[in-house]
Amino acid sequence: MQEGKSTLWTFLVIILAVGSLCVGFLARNKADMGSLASKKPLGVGLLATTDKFSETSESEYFFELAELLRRYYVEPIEIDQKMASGAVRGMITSLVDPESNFYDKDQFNAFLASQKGSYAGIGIELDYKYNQTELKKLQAGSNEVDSLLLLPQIFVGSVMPGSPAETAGLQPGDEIRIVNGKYVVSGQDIKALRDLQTAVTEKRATPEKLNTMREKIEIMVKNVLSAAKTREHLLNGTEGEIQLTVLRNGKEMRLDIGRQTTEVKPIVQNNDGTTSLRFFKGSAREIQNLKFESGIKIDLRNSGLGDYDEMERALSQFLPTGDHGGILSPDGRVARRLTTTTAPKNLPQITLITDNSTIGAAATFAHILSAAKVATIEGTLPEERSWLEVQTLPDGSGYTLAIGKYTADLEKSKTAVAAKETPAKPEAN
Amino acid sequence: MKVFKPILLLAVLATLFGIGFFSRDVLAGAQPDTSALSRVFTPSEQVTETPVETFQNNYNYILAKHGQSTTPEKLRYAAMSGLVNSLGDPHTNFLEPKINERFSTETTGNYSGIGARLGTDPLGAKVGTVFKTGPAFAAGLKENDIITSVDGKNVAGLEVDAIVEKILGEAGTAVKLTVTRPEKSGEISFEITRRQVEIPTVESKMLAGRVAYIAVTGFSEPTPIQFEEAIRDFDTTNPAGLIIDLRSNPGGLLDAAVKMLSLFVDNKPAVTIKARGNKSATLNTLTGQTVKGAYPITILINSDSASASEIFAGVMRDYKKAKLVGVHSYGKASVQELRDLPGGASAKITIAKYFLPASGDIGRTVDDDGNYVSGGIAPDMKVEIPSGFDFKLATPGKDPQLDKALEYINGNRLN
Repeated sequence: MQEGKSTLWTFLVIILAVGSLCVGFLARNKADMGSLASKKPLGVGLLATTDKFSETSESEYFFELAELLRRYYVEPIEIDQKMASGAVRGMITSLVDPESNFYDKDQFNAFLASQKGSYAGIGIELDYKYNQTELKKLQAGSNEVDSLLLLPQIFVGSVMPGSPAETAGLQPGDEIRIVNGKYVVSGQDIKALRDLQTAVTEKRATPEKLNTMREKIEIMVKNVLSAAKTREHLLNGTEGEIQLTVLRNGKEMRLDIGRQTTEVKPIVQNNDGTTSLRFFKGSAREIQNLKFESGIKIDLRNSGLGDYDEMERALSQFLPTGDHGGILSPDGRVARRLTTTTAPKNLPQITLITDNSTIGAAATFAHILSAAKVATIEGTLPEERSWLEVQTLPDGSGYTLAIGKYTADLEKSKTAVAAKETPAKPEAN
Repeated sequence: MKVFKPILLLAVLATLFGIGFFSRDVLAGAQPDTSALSRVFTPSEQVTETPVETFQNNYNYILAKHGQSTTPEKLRYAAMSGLVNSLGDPHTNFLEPKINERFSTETTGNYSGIGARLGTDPLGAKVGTVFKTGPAFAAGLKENDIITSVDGKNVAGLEVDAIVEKILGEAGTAVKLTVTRPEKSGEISFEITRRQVEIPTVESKMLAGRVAYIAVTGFSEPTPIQFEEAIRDFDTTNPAGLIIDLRSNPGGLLDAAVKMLSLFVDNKPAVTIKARGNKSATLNTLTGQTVKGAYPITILINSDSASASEIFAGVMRDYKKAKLVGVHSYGKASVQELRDLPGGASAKITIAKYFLPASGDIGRTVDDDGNYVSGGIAPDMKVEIPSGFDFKLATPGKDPQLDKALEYINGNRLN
């Protein structure tokens, strides 16, 4: 009897001992990883398929790698938000999408200010273009992608009114080539070099020409400026001068442009009777107060990127109530429906003045109004732009994500995309 | 007695909890991280996300919204690369399963080449030294040829490393190269069979004016002996000066560099290796190995001089034994270790750093875009090779860096 009781006690003590050891270990895991189950992650439920390619979940993978670094890296480091932001930067960069961009803290602050109409740097918006052939290869999952050909060309998207860039004569569509003596090397430069090389092989060009180009590219590569750094020089900071060389209609032009803060108003009544509209944060309220009796001529040129939510809010000033299409994601899902529930008593006659300096939210605005046949377009209808969502990360950095393009008839496009995609839908594996 | 038992039991349980809790730190060889304790016992009402949550939330969001244009696998690996790159150390990398495979073949050395050294060129790769013992020499490849395509693939704009990677392969297999030769128009095609090539790491010659020249192209096991033989040979002829060419020397064994330094620096700290947790070790140069020569010495470096070659050059300069000529060196002064991750990927992690006696930390740092920020050794006399210059390695009049070294020696010669 006595013996049995003592065995039981010993047994219990061992169980407790092992238990506390395990609890200790698990408690530490929790302390380091945070309670993942406690919060509903962004975008859950939108996820059509779960990640099946490996048994380790992304967060476990992230944690394992971060833990390896914490344990073995030569400098003492902690698992911090900088790592998380680094991971997000990696993901955004891997999309190779001209409109999805990662911004470090300073760049992101400048970006957020520009969404309110306060521009730093020389007062412009940039526009990135990628080699389409190579991009298609990448998106098709090809292993033959040449990352060099995917270096973007950088263009001036919009020139903000009253900015140093405008004063200096910079124009939308100018291609940025040299910034303070450093070169923007794009996939086009590499392609041009290779094309010329092929031409020499096929005896269509002289080796001398190739040699000249080779020397030029050699200098460029030695003094290269990355896309992110180009952006930082041109769009951040309120001091100093930028020595810029741009390519306009095939000709190189040198411009010296100062950096300062340029405040741009969302609504400007121009002398020629037109109204310039920009969808900065908070502009929807001002647009609501806009009086236009019979007709209005809206100038959307040099629009800047603007804020998409604000533009959506302003739509009810220009459209009859009802559905106005929406945003279709790249894989054909409806990412957003555009519906207005209120409308002005009398819809005005609207004319939109647009060209390729009409970018971002304003470009989508022009497409919506044009598709709804409530506005006539004066000038060229701007290039289609993606709908952008903006995300802020805990360490102050952030990014834009293009979630899809505007489509007037959602149902029709959905079936069209589905029909096109179904046969060749790739496995997640 | 009856009161003590439960207290004792509680104490034991608490200790075991502690052991479990801190086992991670202890196993990693670190001090127990007490801040972790406060993290678990503070109320979890904090609204701030942990880094893991931040990542997971954004991963889900990007994947959900950008579905078709990426895959979970691509996105995950891109994230892991980004995570590792956030440290700003170009030598700490995340290796995807595919890349990882290649890295291990490289380190085990089953690769064979064609017996030529390659340098950067915008058209592809510029051929440097062609080793007489190799198949490239036999096939007729010449110095200054520019390799523009490998196996039919245009290589313009690629990094030299990437081109070398394409040229290397299993011994016995052939590689097709297309080459442009400056003085000839059109292109020349080669088909070269790869094989293992013994590459001499030390080559020496006497230049005009009794200036000794010695090129060290790597730091492998036989290098110190070959180097010492050459130096002692020179010593007997009483040269006016010595030029050590470490350009494009990617480094190798640290021990070899220290042995070679011992010919000039007697029993002094050469390099200090520092690892995590203030663990450090200092390698001293050997005693009584120095040569008697009191002639001026110059060392040639360039941006491809890395690791052991930078350490050699840096220590020589730190002890005022040599002047450095050329351009800024690469900046690799650290030791990496490969760690496995699930799914065949791995992480290459910097676990220790080298520090020089006076120059200190010469490790290269880069920004988030991979652009150079700091590191490497600056030359005492900066000389660049102008673009398009008809360069010929180690040939007076055709090698501006060598010319500068000669000029310095001739200005300081004792005899």
